[in-house]
Amino acid sequence: MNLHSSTSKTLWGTAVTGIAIIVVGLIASMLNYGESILWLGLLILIMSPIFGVIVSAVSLFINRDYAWMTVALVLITMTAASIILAAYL
Amino acid sequence: MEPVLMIALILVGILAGVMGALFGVGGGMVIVPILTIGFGLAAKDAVAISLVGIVATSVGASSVYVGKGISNVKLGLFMEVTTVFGAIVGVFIAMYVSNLAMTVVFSIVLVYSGYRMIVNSGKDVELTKEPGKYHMSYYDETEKAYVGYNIHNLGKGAAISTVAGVIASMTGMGGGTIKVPVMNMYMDVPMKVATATSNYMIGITAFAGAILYFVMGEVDLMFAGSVAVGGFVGSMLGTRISAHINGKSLRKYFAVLLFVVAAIMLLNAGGSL
Repeated sequence: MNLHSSTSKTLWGTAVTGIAIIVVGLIASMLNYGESILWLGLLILIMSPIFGVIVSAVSLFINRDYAWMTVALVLITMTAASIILAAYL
Repeated sequence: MEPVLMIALILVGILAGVMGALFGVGGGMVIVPILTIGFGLAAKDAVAISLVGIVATSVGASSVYVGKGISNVKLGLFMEVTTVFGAIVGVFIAMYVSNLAMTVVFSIVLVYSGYRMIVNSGKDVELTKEPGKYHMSYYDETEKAYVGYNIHNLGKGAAISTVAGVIASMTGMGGGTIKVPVMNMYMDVPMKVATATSNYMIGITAFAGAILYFVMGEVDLMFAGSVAVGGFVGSMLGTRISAHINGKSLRKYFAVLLFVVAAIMLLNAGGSL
């Protein structure tokens, strides 16, 4: 599992999915169907960088590059902690 | 939202995306001034929208650069640990800081970024095949060969990344204008790699701030969605343009633009306009 290839495909896939849903959501919002679709698309887009980091961690684990895998896991943990902190504010 | 307004926001995103892909920045230095000066948004609202736009521009460009191996994923992950911490701190600081103060901070960052772009058009890093402790390599399309380099001063780079993260959350900028010269000048990373790696990093930095604003309900969805669509499209265009543009000259012209924008924002904040 190549680190760069898997990370690139994940970034591309989630971003394109998010953008596509955003476009549908913008049209739906302008037609007064609410903003729930738009909200979902933005959430997927915003999450795409962290999805890339998760896939990178998996790739590093598969390739037995445990030092850099640890760095990726620390980053994921810190990011998750910040989201949980925000949920309680 | 009026269709004309949406089209205008998409064009703003495209401009930011192209600039972001070319210079390794998130495009916030374009998005925030236009949203505040052109659309009359408060600085905090513009920052929240900008962070979403930065995610879009970053992911668009980095998906290409990472795939080509130009973005150093490992280096990016390492520096992001401290940057994310800074970004989280910056969000909470921004909640209690006035619009005027945020405008002043943003303008100072613009002036500094412009100064760095003019006086440091890119350090000539010694490329080597001799492996050091942190030896990396990438395929250079212009050289048609793999080129190697050794990374130094990881600790210093990580520390400065923390500051970049705070600024990113407070100003809506992805911190790329700080990280690119840091990687190139202090860590001996080739300019092309520094730019591409910055594109990868700023998406993660912006995510940390954007998700907090998003969860707190601070993001205008229509504005953010329009800017994000434009940003993604612009970043795709920028990655294709980057191979055909003299980066040194364009970088200097862009620096002048940063000075002009900073001056306009400061005058506007002071009520002189």
